[in-house]
Amino acid sequence: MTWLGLSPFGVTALLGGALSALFVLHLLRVRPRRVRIETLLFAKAAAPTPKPVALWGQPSRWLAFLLGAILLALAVAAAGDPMSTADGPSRLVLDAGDRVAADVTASRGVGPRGGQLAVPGALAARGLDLAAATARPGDVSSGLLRPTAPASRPASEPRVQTVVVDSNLPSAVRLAIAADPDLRIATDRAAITVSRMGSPTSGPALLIDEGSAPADRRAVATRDCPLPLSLRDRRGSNLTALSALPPTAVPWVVDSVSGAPLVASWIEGTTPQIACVAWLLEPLAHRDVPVLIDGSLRLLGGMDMPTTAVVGDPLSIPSLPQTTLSVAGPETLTISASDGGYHVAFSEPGTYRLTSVTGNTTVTVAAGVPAVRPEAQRVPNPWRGAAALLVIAVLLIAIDAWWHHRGRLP
Amino acid sequence: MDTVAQTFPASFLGALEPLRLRTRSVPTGGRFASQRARSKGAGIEFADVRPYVPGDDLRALDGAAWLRMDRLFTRLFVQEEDLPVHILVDRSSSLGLVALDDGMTKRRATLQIAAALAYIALRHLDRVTIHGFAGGSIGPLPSTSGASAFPTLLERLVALPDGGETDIRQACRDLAARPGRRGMCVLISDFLDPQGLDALHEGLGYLKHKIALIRVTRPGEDRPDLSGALDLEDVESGARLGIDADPSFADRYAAAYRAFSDGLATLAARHGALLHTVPINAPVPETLATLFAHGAFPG
Repeated sequence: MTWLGLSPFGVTALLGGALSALFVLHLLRVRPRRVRIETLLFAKAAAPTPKPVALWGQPSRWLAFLLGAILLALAVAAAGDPMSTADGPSRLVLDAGDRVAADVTASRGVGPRGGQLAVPGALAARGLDLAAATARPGDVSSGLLRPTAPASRPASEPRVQTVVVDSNLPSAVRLAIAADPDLRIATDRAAITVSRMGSPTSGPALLIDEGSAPADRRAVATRDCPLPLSLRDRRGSNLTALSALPPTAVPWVVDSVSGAPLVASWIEGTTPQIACVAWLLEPLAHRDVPVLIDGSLRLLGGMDMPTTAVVGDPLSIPSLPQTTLSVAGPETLTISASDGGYHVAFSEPGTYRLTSVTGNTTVTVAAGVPAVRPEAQRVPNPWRGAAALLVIAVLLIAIDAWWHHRGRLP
Repeated sequence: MDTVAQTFPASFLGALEPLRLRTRSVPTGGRFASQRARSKGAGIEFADVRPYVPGDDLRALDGAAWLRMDRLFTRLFVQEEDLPVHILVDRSSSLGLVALDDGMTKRRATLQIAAALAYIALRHLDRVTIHGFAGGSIGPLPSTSGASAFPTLLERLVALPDGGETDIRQACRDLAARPGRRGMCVLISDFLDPQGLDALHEGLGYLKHKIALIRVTRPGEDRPDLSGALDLEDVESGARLGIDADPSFADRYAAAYRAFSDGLATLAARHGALLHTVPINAPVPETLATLFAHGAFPG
């Protein structure tokens, strides 16, 4: 649930702040001393029109009114998305076809933060078209990955997908796609993409187990899932879930508390679609999602499912005793098996090829937390000074209130 | 509630001895008393002679005139009857709000004034009826005459219930509706009727008695010490008024008070009523002594 682009926490904080401000004003209001007198006859004749006794009822005091308005605006701005005007949106739009553009327009300014990945049917021949430029921060309501492929395209078509990646994509997605040797980032928007449809299975593939503490939250695979996700989510489960899914949608990831789908797939006509809640695309909290996207692209393209990992996280691979594992990729390693398996920790993102006596395995290593783009570093955050302005506004209002009510405060 | 002893100290009654109520004339039909009646009859003070007519009291024949003029004349004497005295005592809440350092309040002052007037009237064999009013009429107390009834009257007077809103109009209307001879009506109040002087004007219009208005005032009530943001509450009605009493407020308040006082005086004159102001910081007997400057209440 969002309101004016504010998260539930932001709305709650804003309401709490507003109520606190009202309470403070209530405490600071002028309390007229009650005096019992014998008659009001003379007081009525002598008393001028009483002045308003509180800032709230005194809009003629333009200074207080103006400062109050500034305070409210700053509070809204401070509680809003501080990254919304940073260089490049924090949204992700893969292809903005006609329908997506309409959705973007319809939800402009009122939708929650999130991303949308789409390949509409009309642009199926062009593949994934990243058109984040048509979106505006806060426009898109939910993540949607909707790659398509012509039904007549044989499954033996070239296995390399070409993806047009907009410069506004989160770095992690770009890195994940770039590190995959079977995906190629195209330089134009006329690339051909998925060559075979995926076929989602039924039933939840992954449950997010809350655990007994927030740190215990983990993802539990209930069966072979399309992607070996390991959502290291530290957020609560009260975020938005997917809504208005078609009846044939198969959830991949559900919330273990509410059962609401977080990632789901379905087939619409001949087009496989994957929907992902927007908050899963926020890279800092859900750094595996770019790998999900990468793996989804591979899956829907009919490629082998890679083993995925994240830089810095150990990867355990079962093995025979006394065998070695050769790792070839951005870094070359030779690892001996111990405790019944290999334990590998990658320090560089990319695609690694693991070779042992039992066979070969491809591991896609995502960078995890995306690096801050250099251009984003150069752009100063316009809301950085909001806190200071807020403090100044509060001080001015306090001084104004004191000046007006001096000598009358209890 | 004040007790009899608090309300009427021993020295208070002694100071009332030389005072008396007097009107120019008393309607006929009353009991024999000390007030000069309009008619001539059996009295002590010689008034006139008139030719004898059969049936006249032979004891009233003027022998000197018969010898001198060879005609019979009947001597006429001033007939003295009692005076109906109605005392309306304000019992509203405003009278008890502020007490002076010695404990004197407007309420106690009104009781003292009422008691003083009643005492004087009773000593002169006048018939006294006391009416309380606050939001409506209270009582009246039983009519009494004779000095011996004074202690009982005091107890009843002090026991009059108090509290409520001043409604002079209703009090006067209730008094006017009562049967009885015309007499004197003494209205003791601070006259702070929420309806203002219009209510008093209308109320006095109902009365056919000789009217005396005794206004009790408190020191400083014309210029109260009010400053700053205040929430004024009328002690009688509970009405509230928020004001911002700046330094000029006291002047405006005093001006309004003076205008009220002037209006009250004008109103009294219009109704031919006596208006006398009794400040409660002065002893009531002394104040009444000034009221009885010629030895009698100028009704």
